[in-house]
Amino acid sequence: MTQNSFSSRFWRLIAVVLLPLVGCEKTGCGDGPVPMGQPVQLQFSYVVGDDALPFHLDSTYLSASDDLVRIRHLKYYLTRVRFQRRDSSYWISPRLPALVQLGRCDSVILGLVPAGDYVSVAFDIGLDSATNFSTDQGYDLAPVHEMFWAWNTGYKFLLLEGEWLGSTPSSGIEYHIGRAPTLRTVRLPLPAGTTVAANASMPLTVRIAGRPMTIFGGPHVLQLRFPRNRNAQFDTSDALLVADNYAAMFTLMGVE
Amino acid sequence: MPAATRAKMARRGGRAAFAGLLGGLMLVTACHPDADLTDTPAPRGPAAYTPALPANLPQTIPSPTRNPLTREGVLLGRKLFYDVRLSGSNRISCATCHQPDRAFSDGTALTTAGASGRALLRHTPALQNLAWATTGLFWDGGATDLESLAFGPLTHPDEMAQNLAALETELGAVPEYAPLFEAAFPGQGISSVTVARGLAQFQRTLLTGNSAYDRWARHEPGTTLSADETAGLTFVRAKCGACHAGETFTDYGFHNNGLDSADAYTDDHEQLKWGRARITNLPEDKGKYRTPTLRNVALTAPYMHDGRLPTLEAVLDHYHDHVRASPTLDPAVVMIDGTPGIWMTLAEKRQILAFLHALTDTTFTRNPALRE
Repeated sequence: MTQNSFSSRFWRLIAVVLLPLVGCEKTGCGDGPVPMGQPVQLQFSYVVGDDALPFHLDSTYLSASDDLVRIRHLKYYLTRVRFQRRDSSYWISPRLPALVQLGRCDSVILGLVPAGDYVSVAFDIGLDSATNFSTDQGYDLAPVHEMFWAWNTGYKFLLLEGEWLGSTPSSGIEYHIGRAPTLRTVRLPLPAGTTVAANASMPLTVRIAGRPMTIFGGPHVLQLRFPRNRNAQFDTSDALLVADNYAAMFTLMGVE
Repeated sequence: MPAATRAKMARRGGRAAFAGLLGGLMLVTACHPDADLTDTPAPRGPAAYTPALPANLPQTIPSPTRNPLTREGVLLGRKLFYDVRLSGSNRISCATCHQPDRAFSDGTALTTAGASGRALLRHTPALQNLAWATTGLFWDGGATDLESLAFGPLTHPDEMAQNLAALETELGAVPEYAPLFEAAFPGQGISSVTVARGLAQFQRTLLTGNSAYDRWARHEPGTTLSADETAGLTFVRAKCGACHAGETFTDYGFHNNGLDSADAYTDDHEQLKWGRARITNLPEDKGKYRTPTLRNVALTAPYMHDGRLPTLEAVLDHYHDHVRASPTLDPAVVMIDGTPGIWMTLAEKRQILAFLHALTDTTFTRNPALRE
């Protein structure tokens, strides 16, 4: 990412957040500000175990199949964040896909969510087919993030690389998951009374916990002694198991 | 998630924690802000450009809306195409293997000219009339467009072995590039994205359509084809035209032309020998490869996706004598009695060769606008 583009993105964000507020002032006409909304961010933290202790890359954990594993890299595309109201209508974020990277990038800033009461938040892990058609795209889709296949065009929706310590030397684990069949929707109920305020300047933070070890043992327990369970690519049958698992790794921690 | 599984997972995680492998606070960092979906490329920019197109070829160049053809983009792409800085070692350019004199191919079956010195697993394809190749690129169609394709050769350790972040830094330090990128892609900076888009634009201008055949087909004054050449044309249209179709002499499709029997489609190298099926995962696509154009075919030896056939004579011998049966063999290379192959007499082989040489376009290979 060049300095210029980062700077450009920074000011674009500022503009996105501030412009609607400026608009309120202009259109208030003495009746007070028009209710607009509140900046919202999704804040991810990664935990492991009953006690939800912090999860660390490069540390060793025991998987659901009693396999010792170490995750070196974990990143995924998060898209189409939706806040649903009680009447099933919803607000969808207009933002481009966000690349969430453990240890590097753990929050997704959504900008201004319209004021109102919301009952759930949902997002997709993955990209829609139109976005996934070509890989010369910018921002979090930029090729420098190395989240794409060059020989078979498309983005990796989720990348997990690590090691299985059940052999000497250890064996690599490589999940590069992508293509439409692996797109998964995560829907998390919000606490009762979750309200996005009108014209609040402080952002509302939706805290979400991710359990990376669930990727090895969510709905499907992966036996890592089998090579096919250590290497899943694209949308193969093994990759679909991984996708089901990563869709199950999130829980809502709170809203503040 | 089933409750039992959930409970088990919790237990596992708890044991991991007990193992004393955790500690400290999580590092929490904010993601970069993202742009709105409405953040389309800035409307300002260079004017659209359509190069002169031979009258017997398609009259429009389909470009992605995100990367319309402009003179500035093409000029940038040409400079990048010939620049060795695009490789990790700064010794290899696109033109190392895509040489203008050979219609942007390399004359080698499986080149070792890449960064590692290891032989590639597929033959360097010629680059010509790819503006109309909208059905997929690479021999197996794995790249959706020229923009997306670029990252393959740029980053592959056996090709240019470039780290894209390093490339952005390196090109950003070259003073002459800044105005070229700005002119081609205003406000978008020097990035691997604009590199790929510039390269794609230049490649869309690698247009060939001025061979002896073309001048004859356009009824230009003083142009003729010999009796052998016209007979060869008639044969090619009748017996080869199912795949080498129309004025582009390719249908840009994927076919199994009988190079191997089905037992050759092994899983080696991540199903590389599956051909098109490696991309589609469809058994009926095994052994299929993209139809190369016949244009400039006399300059692009050796032939086939792995360069196994050294000469045009060997290619004709293949179609006459060595087509191998398999479940995915294209019907176009099966005779009416079911025998694999295309029947041709010695005289017809001579005529076909004469015609294929009439497809050589030296105004293309010597065009200074396409050279360094």
